[in-house]
Amino acid sequence: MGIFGKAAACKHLCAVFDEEGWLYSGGESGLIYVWSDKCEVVKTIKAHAEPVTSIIYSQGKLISGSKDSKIAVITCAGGNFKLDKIVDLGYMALKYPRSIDFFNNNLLLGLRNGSIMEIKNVLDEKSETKILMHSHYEGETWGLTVFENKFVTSGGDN
Amino acid sequence: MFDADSHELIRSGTISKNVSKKKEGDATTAKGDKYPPNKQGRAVAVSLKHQHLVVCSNFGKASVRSLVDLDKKIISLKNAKEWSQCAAYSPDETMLAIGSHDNHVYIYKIDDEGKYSLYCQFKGSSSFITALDWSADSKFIRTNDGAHELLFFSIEDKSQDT
Repeated sequence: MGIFGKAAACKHLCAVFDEEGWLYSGGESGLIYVWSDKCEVVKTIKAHAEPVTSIIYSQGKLISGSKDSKIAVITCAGGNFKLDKIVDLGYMALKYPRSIDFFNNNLLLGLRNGSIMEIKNVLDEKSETKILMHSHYEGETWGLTVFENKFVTSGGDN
Repeated sequence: MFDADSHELIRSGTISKNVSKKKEGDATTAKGDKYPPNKQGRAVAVSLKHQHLVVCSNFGKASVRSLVDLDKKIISLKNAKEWSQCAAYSPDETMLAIGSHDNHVYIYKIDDEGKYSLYCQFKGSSSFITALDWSADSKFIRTNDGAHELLFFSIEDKSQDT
């Protein structure tokens, strides 16, 4: 059991520990809650307008993704938090990250719409976005036909 | 549409922009679908000669699209009364066969200008059509149905062979 204290209680969709032992959880309110080892919320970070769906800590950075199709990159050091960058994926239905990985300034995202996206040099001014894979993401995939080294599929997602 | 080597998406299209009010077609085992039946694709087939792609929805309608622009509709084939599980162009690409869950197979003739007309209907199956394919000379089709029957139809005679 944890104590929210002054922070408004809400459901949590994701959580991650950092190297110093702090726990970060992403709430439906769009806040990131910072938990101490006494299971108390010591701080909240206003990062998103919609529920936080995924969060990861890597190489001193806290990266969170939200249903507002934005990704926040936050530097954490000794209890101080600095928002480095907000990456906007461009709002589209179900185009929000469900899983995130970060390594050496590169982001790998698994999106709710079945796509896998890579953003290289995310903290630089010129970042490079590439979609590695597309997929159907709602209902079932029924139709499949192959021609000329290409294939076409039809699914329950319009 | 995907490239088979790199698996990259080449282009995509929307099956329907309208929302059907009728709740027809129950093709899915997954409950709580977010899309209505007319937005759920069930079968696709491609004709390179005509540069056409046909996509059958869970609503019974088969929509013929341009292969170059998947959102460009060429014709809607609305003969099937229930949803269609399989569609295939004949090897010579002069015919299109659609197997539906109303137990019928619909054969469409395609003229040189790419216009579709209903050529015949095969009503021999006692259950829904699950799969169909063409003979290499485009004169026969065979079908599988929900009663586990394997039936053969002659296109020239417009009749059931066995």
